[in-house]
This record gives sequence, structure tokens and C-alpha cells, in this order.
Amino acid sequence: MPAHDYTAKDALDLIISKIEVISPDLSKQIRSAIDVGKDVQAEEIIMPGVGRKPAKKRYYRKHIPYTDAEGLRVAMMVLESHLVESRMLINAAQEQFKKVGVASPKKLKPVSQQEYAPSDSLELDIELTDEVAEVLGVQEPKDIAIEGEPETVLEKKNLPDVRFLPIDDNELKTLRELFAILKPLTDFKEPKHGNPN
Amino acid sequence: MATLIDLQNAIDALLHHPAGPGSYQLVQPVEEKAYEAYVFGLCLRAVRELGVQPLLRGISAIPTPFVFRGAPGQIHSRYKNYGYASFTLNRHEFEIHAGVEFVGTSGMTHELDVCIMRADAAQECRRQPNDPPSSSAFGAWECKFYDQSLDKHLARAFVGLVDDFGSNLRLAGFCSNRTHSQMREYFQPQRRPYPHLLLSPLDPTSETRFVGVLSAELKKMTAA
Repeated sequence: MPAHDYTAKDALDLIISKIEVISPDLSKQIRSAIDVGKDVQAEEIIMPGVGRKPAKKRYYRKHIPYTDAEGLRVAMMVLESHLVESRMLINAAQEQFKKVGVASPKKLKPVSQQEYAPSDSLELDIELTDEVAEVLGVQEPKDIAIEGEPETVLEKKNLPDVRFLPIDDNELKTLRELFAILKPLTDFKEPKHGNPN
Repeated sequence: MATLIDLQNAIDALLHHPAGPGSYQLVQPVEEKAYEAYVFGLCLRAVRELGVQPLLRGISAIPTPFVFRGAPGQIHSRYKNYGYASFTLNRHEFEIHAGVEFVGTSGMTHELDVCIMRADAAQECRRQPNDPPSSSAFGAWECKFYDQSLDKHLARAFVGLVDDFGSNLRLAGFCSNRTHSQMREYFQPQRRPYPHLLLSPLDPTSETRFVGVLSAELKKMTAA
């Protein structure tokens, strides 16, 4: 007996159309992941001439589109990557950064200018020593950011750095619960029959 | 039997969640770098598990915030107060960097998403602005956050990079939250990078494996 009263195509269309309204970028991302398709091993039977050796099989790789059920699985995978996994990455990084300290330099040591090639862009008149006066912030959350505008950008717009904002554990938990509800509703794998052993 | 209404309700609940698809714009720009930061964090964990306390530093000042490069850059650049970590293990000093360029044995420059290198070489390249030589790298990791099956060319490119790093590189790993059906086989031959495929907080076993491989190699190298 089927587990759903709708087809995989119905489910896929519904998910994509609903997400498209809220986030066209995410819906585009889902479509492009589905359109990558998959590699399969195809087989070809080579028929011998009359009275010769038996027919032989030849195998070769082939790119084909996903089925609707597979496309639905890919859509769920994309959604989970962007909404759950990426948040978990940020939280996991924050957790590890929290456990280590930041080094406070003991003093600034003047360094001879002769050691450096002349350059206007480098402020090399001081160098931090390797000695550490004190370690700060062990077990404290760290502020982590990604450079908003890399050094090589020609026309700078002074974009701010992008902060890693950890997601609240409770929000992440409820998000994961929603995916746990969605999974059986979007799983169109044929159930296995008989004794697996 | 599940009905279309059940599915509709479940999707609506996801759509209206505060961290649901509506917040995708906030997450998208940081995803790839978040994966690098995650692997960087696993390196910190591996060091801590050896009983050593790594320290977060910035090139010019205390790293508040700790800034990851937005694009491959040079270790000596002071354009921003880029962050890195330092640690000493059995009197060997190391630094952990992200997005830094090295010079390969061929003379070509390569960016490493995350790496551990000898601290003296890093310090020298900051004093006399230069790209570090590949021989100063101890470990190199390529980090790819993907929402679908991985592209094969990523593995081929990293194998080429590792080859140009020469034999001083003790550890190389290809890290991704996804996998590809042919990639594990591709990484099987000796001297190919370690395939840390499906490395993600969703699979704590894979994290333990990464940390174990790195800790063991650090211990081995600094044992003498």
C-alpha cells in the first residue's frame, strides 16, 4: 500500500513553488541541484552472429536526469544543507573558538626599517612579539567574521565584514524537528519486503 | 496514509520558522567560509586534545573580531587584522591559517583553505613580506561546502596542488559535507589526500576521525 496519497512530482512541485515565493534564490538553487542529474551504469547486450558465442553484456557510464522521487530527495538535501547544516557549522565553529583564548601581546617591539622592502601600504614599523602577556577569553564566545571586501577589489564600497551569527539551540532544535516531520512525507523509496537476512 | 494536506502543513511550518527559507539571504554569504571556519575549529580541537592550548591571534592586534579572509590572500597582508592560531607542541611551534597562499615547488602559488605550518616560516614571511614556501606547510585541507553531489574536478585540482607541495607536507585532506560516488576510489592511492567526505556536525564520527588523524600525525612529527 502506498504511504502517500500524492506523487513525488506533486510533492516536488509543491515544495519548489512554495519556496519560490519566500526565497527565489533558494528555489533556483534547488532546481539547479536537481538538474545536475546523476551518473548510472548502463548496459548493452551485444548479440553475436548466428552459431557463434553467446550474447555478451557491455557496461558503460551514462548521465541521466533524476526521477521525481530522487529529485525530491535532492530538494530536501539542499534545503537541509542551507537551513540546518550551515547553521550547525557556525555553531560548531563558535563552540571550538570559545574553548581557546586570544593572545594579548606583551609589548610592541620596534623593528628596524632596514629589514623590510619599502612599501607604503604596509605598516611595518611595529611588530608584535611572540611573548604572551596574558591569555584572554577562554570559555568566552568569540566574534568571528568574514572579510566583506577582499583586498584586491578595485572599486571598494567599504562593505562591512560579515559576522557569523550562531543560531539559538532551541531554534535549531525546532528546525531539525520540522525536517524530521518532512522526511517521511517526502520519502518515496519502495519499502523493502521479506527478511533482509 | 500521508496526504497532500499533511505535506502542505509541514512545509508551511518550515516556511514560517524564524530560521526557515526566509532567512536564506542571511546564511548564503557565509556558508562556504563557515565550512572553513568549522574545519579550522576542528584543528583547534585536535591540538587541544593533545593537551595543548592554542591561541587565537591577529596579524596586527588582538583578533576581535577574528577575521577570515574573503578571498585567497597573503600571510603578510595587513589590509585587515586577519586571524590565525598558534600553538607549541613538544617545543615545535606551529600556526593554523585559513585562505593563505603558498609557493609550490614549481614556483606556482596555491591557496590552502586551512593549513598548519611552521611558525618560524610564517613569522619570517610576515617580517620580510613574502609567500611561504610549500615546504613550511605541515598539513593542508581543502574545504568544500556543497548542497549537492561534489564535482569531480575539485578532487583532481587538490591532488595536483598536493603534488606541487612536495614531500614535506605530512598531511593533506579533502574535506566536504558531501561526497561523490567515484571520489573515495580516486583518493585511494598512496600519497593522495585523505578523503574527509561527509565531514559535518551532522556526523560526529567523521569529526572524531578528522581530529584523530590530525592529532596522531602531530604527535608523530613532534615525538622526537
